[in-house]
Amino acid sequence: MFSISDLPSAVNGVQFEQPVLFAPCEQRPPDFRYFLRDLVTHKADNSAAVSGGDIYIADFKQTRNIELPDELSQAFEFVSTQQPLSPSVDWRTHLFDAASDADVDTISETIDGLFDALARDGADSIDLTGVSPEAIQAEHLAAILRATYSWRDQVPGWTHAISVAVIALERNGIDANEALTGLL
Amino acid sequence: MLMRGAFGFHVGIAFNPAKKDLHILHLRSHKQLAVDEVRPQNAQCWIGAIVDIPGSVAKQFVPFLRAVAKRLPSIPYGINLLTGVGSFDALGHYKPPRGSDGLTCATFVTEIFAAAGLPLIRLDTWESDLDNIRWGEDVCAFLQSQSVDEEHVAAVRKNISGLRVRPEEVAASAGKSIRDRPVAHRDVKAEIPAVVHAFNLHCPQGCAIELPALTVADKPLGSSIQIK
Repeated sequence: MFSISDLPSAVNGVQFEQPVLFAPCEQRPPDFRYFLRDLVTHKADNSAAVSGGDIYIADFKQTRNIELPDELSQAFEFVSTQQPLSPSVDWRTHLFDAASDADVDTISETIDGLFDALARDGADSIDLTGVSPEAIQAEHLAAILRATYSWRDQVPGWTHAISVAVIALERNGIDANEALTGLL
Repeated sequence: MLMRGAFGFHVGIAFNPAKKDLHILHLRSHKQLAVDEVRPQNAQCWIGAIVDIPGSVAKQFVPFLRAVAKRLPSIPYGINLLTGVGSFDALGHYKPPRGSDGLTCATFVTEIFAAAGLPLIRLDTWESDLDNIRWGEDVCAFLQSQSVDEEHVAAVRKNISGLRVRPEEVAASAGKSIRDRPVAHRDVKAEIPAVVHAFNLHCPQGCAIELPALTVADKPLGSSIQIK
């Protein structure tokens, strides 16, 4: 049995933004994710220096003891990477850059950052009251609105942002009724 | 994507993670939300429908899927259809409403789409079926065989009502035009024969391709480990 609070956040002298767990493919038992669920917050994109397994961002926020089956004793290890894992992009970065690319990968950065911000700072941190058509990237705003649709009542400025999105999308030659299908 | 599963069919959402080939996001079993790569060497026999959504919307929905796939919330396998509504808080966080015992592979898909403002089905039109009573009992037996905690199994057993969203119904609704969605149960049922026919045409019974077993971890926690 071990205490998660005792586990280091640095490996081989390299500090990480967050502790990581490395699950090598060849040692991975069936259904290993079942056991990961209490240890990790999410799976990280592997850095170029790491291969042969997956990296998971460990959740060491709480002190607790946990037991795992013996066969998992070899399944996880801390890994040293050549470069620290890159943090997610702040969800506002592309939103407030009207010249941002609007391809699916760039929008994915926005939504990934959005999810991290929500998990870290809560719904109140996603404040859309200040958005205006001239100062935002319309498609990133539309994606944020869709990602927050089911709890729109808790997002400050969500309804205002819908109106802004309609104007901004149309100004960019995008059919707002189509792009905001299901949200209007 | 529709494939054979433990209770007939199994359904998931095919998508491309960033810089990767086709993957499937699916609720494999109890607390086993998974993202699996679709590769020829381990390809299950499956058919797929391209969901009719505008390109501008796809650019929003795929990032949402990617974010869920990255976080893989722990979702119990449960059958209460109505209380499962609203299970996703649009952050990919699974927050079941009071009374919900979890989701199935099918309701996971419907809930994800609903959370993104793209509902596939009209749940208020769903009708119960006696066959689903037996299915509910089969689910409980399966969960028990997988050593799922008794409290959860009991909760699922209480929710056996004859209401069920079947994987093939989800597949049928996903194949409808966006103008015709969300789809009423009666309209979905009319499409099932064609879906099943298409599946059997492509994936005949006894085909040589091995299908992965749907299991949960079958060993209880209990041993200590050393972290290297």
